[in-house]
Amino acid sequence: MIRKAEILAERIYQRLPNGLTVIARRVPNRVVTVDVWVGTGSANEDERLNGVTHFLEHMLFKGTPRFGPGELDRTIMEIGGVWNAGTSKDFTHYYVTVASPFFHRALDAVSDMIQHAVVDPVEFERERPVILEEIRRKQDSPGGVLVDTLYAVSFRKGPYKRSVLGTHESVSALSRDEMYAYYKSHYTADNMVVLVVGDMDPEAAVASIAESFGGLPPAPAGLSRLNNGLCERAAGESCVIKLAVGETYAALGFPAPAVDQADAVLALDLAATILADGRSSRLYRVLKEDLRLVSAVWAGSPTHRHESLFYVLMTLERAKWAEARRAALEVVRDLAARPPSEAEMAKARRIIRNGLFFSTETNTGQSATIGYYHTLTGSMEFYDTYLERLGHVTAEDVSRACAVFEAEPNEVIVEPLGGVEGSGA
Amino acid sequence: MSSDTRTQAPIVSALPSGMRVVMRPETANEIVSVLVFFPVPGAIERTEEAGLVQFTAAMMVRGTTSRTHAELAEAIDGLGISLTCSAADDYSLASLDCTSDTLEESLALLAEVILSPSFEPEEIEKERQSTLAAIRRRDDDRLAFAVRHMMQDLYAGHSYGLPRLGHAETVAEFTRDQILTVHGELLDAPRMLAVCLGHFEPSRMESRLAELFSGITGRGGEALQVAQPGPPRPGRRTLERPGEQAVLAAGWRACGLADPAGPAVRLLNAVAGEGMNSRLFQRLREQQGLAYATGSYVHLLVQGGHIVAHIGTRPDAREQALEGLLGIFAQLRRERVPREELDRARNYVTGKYLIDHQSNHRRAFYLGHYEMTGLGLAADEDFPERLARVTADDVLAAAEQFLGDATVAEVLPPE
Repeated sequence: MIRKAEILAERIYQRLPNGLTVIARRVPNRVVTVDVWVGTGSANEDERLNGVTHFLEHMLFKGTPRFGPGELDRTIMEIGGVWNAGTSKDFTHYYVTVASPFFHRALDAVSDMIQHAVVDPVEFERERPVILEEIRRKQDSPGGVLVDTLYAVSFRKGPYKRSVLGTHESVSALSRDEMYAYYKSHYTADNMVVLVVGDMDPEAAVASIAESFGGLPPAPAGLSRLNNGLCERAAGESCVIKLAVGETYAALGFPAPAVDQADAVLALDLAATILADGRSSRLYRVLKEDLRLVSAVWAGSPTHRHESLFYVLMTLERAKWAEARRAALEVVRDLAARPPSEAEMAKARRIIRNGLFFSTETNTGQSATIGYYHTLTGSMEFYDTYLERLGHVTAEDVSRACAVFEAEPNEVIVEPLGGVEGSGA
Repeated sequence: MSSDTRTQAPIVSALPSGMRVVMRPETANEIVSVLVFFPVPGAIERTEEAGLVQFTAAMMVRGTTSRTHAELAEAIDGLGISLTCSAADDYSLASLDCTSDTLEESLALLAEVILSPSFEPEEIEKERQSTLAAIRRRDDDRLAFAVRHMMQDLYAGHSYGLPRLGHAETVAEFTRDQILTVHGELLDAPRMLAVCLGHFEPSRMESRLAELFSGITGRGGEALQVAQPGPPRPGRRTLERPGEQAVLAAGWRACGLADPAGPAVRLLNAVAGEGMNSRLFQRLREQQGLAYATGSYVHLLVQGGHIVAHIGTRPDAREQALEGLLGIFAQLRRERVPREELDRARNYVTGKYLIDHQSNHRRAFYLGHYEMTGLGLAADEDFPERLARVTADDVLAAAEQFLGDATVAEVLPPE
């Protein structure tokens, strides 16, 4: 048996006087990862500022008073580091992994870029076409179009309606000063978690982080940020998009609970596993193997801070959509009508447990999971108690949580234009 | 950059069947990875059977003589393990990742899918439909589509230029007899290699493997070898496809894995297009704003290798993007890389090597990869040392030798 202690292995957790959370965990693997999580994402934007969080993430790599344009990248490459960042609806994070002797140099570069980005006006204009290119690239990606459109049609209003990248129009209209103001009001100590995972002395690492980030101010009293979670859901919406693709991509969206409804979140995590994780899962077995309606199927709900979506994604031949939709609804609603068996529950728990356990093999696997849940909830409790609570979720709890599937789903189909040029061998 | 990558030497032995076993017991966690390498290269395929080895591998987890596909899936998911089979260019492999508490049962399942897949006709048809859909999804990615066509020209019909998943036309024709033939070739005990890494007891692992794989023997005869590729077909191929972006892929043939120039080729590629400090990223994205995604990668194989560079840009900027991309590689042929830049690239590649060795699965993979491709087990740990010896002159020589006329494919929206 895997001991719980291996998921909750020794670590240091500390909140600095400025409100910054620091988490350090030692893994003797010769490399170390610094992963800085900022609790802001596209959910913190309005229509006009849509895309600012993601654009800002790019701008942080462009330099500080100490590191000119290109120098941060040069420094990280010099020390053999691999780094990147990601922006989502609820968060932004920046991560670098280096051989352990270079921990301090990596920390120096990352902490400087997080706190002292210049957001230089010339670099800002130079980066804008890069962002527009990223938007164009996504518009050519069937998976990207599918999920973005599903969020867009599923909410009439609310924090998750908009795309993380923004639109061509919103990104074209953003000003450098708007971005800088957003930066200063969201990149505050109380809105950040710094994780360090890998081959280092955790106590010394926490001391170094305290020194590097100790001067970062918390948010001033009375600061107001967007993202109150209020949303107006749509139901029964349908959207068909034509792209130059050979396969059809389809999505069904249902309501999903916010992270603070932990019991429902865990029950739906188990439901998602029962439905589509592995070849013995229900949707895979019924839709793909027995009825041969789809070529691939996924189900799940990326847990968000506020109420969001549970979705079922499929790839299939266009002509099979009506039947696949009907069969998929039957399968997911059956879980609401009848609790899963104990054997199915045990299998789902083991798949989730092992998935979490395998993810701890890499530093970024650990920092991503811990950072994600801490950023959404503000504490370690959700992560620390996840497996234990999972063990307490009953089959009836799963069935009750699956009542969300009774709602009329929103649906999006990305279908071929009607003959894809040059798709032969 | 210092890189103390030395670890304890693995335990090497052979089972009574002749199958070789490499074991590296580690206790950092309770995960065990067992990778069984087979002496059947994906690139052994002829053009008309592209995808056959991968198809055979995929069929191995679609039911055995004692379990249906559904029963096998239930057993795998019930243990919470990962058990997959796949084809690479120079070998094929079956991979198991499990927790140590389920090792015995998991090993038995691994042996079962390797030794006794049933290849039921109905399952073959299901896998065929699944693979055809996967091919459509692959081609729906504009970059993958461009690279696939570029590789065909770069290898001018040689199997290294074929997609391992195959083509719709070839997959449609696979027969059960063809699959049985490939499977028979996989089970060539003296040329098979099992690499075990993680939390296990070595003597128990060895005796269990001996027991499970006792029924196979050697096939004798010559080993299956990938042929030497002929010369590339440089040029520019344009493919029209509606969409927002123009995507360009350019390729150059490089040396094989064992060639002394290999480390220099890796650094050459890193300078050109690996990471955010590379020339492609800095010049075409950061300075000219031409792209979001641009970069390059290198694959060194037994009988040759290649560098592929790519960029996605707005259609009206494609000539500028291609000129910029090719110009970066042309400059590498003309001018020695400055020492500082070369050192940064060296550190970056070494760092990536360390980072990619965190999981048991990846460490097991590298041991098997180097052994199966003829470089030997020590090649993995020697990698940073080989990089450390590369000079700017070596990189220039590699660039002069390999970066001739590029083979280009571009996917463009129609005018």
